[in-house]
Amino acid sequence: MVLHKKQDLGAPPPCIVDGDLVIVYEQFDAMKAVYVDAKQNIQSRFGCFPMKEWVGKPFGSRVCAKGKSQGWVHILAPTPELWTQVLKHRTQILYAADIAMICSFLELRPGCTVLESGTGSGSLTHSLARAVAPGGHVHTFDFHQKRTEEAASEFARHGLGELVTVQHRNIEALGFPEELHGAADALFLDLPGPWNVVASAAACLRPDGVFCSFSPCIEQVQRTCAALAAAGFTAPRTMECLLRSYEVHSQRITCDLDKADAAAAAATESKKRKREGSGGPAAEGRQKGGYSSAGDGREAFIAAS
Amino acid sequence: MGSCVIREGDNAILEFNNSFKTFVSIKRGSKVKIGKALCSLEPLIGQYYGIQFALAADGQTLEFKRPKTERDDGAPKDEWDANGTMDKNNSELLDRGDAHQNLKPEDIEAMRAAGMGGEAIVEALLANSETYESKTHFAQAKYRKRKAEKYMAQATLVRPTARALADAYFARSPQKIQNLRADSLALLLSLANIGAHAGVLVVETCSGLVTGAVAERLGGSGLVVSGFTGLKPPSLDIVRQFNFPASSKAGMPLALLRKVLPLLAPSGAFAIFANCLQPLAECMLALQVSKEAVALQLQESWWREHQVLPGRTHPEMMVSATGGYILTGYKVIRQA
Repeated sequence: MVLHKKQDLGAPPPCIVDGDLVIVYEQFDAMKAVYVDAKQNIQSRFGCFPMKEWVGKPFGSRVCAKGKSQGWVHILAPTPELWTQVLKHRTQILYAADIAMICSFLELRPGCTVLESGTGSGSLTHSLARAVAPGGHVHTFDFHQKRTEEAASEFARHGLGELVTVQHRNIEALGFPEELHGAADALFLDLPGPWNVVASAAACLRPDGVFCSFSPCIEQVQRTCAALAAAGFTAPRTMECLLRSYEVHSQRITCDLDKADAAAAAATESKKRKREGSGGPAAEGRQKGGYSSAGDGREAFIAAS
Repeated sequence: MGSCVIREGDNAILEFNNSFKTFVSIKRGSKVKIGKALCSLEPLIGQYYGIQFALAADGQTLEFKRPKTERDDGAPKDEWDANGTMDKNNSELLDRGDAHQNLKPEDIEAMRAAGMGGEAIVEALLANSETYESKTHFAQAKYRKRKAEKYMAQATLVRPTARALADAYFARSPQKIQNLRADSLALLLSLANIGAHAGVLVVETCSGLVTGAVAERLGGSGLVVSGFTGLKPPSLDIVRQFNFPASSKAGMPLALLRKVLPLLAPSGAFAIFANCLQPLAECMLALQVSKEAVALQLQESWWREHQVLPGRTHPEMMVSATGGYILTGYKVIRQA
């Protein structure tokens, strides 16, 4: 179950059940999706983990490898964002920044009906489903038969069966099915020729419904904008977005160079004296930068992109 | 969904020429300033949100008509010759401002008094400009657009969604929402895994924009708890601008990261917004040391809009440098 479950306030947090999808967090940039199978062990770089030990533990638990390896990983509950980071790519997929913007600008709320083509790897579909649940519906289409089958079984396994309908259909060639005319609050296209679908999109959207198309090339965007204007769409906006990640390091900053020089000279002097005293090479280990000694340098955090 | 119809008592955003925004309530009898006239928005009741309208020639009543745009003139002329130059240029043009315009303000006033509509005034302005004909097609389109915005202001009534309110406040009074740009708000909601049935604690000083946005995503299933620090709760007045049914408003006092992290269920997602980087960098380091959370990410959303018009596609000239920073992660159970 990738979405929130209905539960009473103050109820204990949900625990891992055999068959659940979980996200195994090994370390930064190393996560994977695992369907819990109590009869199996799972092998990771941190050791061998018997999954039967996971069952009954709350999500967010740290679990240990068997034997002497002393390795451990964290088990997280899946979310649409985590799923996007671990899913098996059947196509290129959309990532967090685009997904967030699409869900927000489509103005999705619980109860909305949203159309999507193509389904691709189902990355965005999970977020669309979260935004329209409960009571809403995602109709998603892909022209690739095998892909729709894989996506459908994934959605069912993730508890999205009632929220998402996957159909095999070439939307660019055929448009959306007629039974969806006048039925959609929002619509999303990620197709090579989205301008071919604008007329069908106009027929499907309710008044004040939102059309959104994702294209890698500006020429595709231009043709789509022209088609939208011709079909009576208003207030078009074209945008790019991306996420810039920052690394955080802790570093001491020297505020007074004179004092720092004096301190360095004093340190050299004391080292020299010790060396002379012991008659051997310097015995002490290197101090860890940043944390250990007090002085003029204040603790500061430097963030750099 | 019924909410796309404008109803009496609704709050809404009134946009002019797709940019200037003001907040209005749809009430019978109350009047709103459009251009220089005070107009009743009553005729909008029962229409769909997104409807475009303008002042009629009488300067009093509303006309539900999309004013003519250059797109309506059909496909634009291709003015580029084989060398990629245009058939006209501004080598002869001297910018003498109003001197090129033979219509004086008093003439325009007289036209208005005679009951001429905005469209007719714009046409008259184009006809009486000495330089209009010598301009390139693109420059003509720009000139027409500028005059149209002034004399036939096109208004749109926009549904007050979290997205629309974030855009409107960021344009009008960004300090009221701590410079929380619409893209950052979108990310906050996604990264904090906001969806129906979630129990969400919101601690904010963005005047209720975040609380309202979360409530909108929950749609009545789940719980939003609004927390604050200090003795007095901050204003959440933006919440009132969403058209929520009265029942979905909640509030209770609580005290921040160290105070609220124990309240988060294990594996729960959190997202912290700040309009500067340093406090979030400190939070991130503290969480890395305490090992209370994993998958920590400190990110900044970058956003650029483009003008897309035939032959004139380019990034917008005015963009905001930053929409703020977001720290996210998932809480984990600490080993004893």
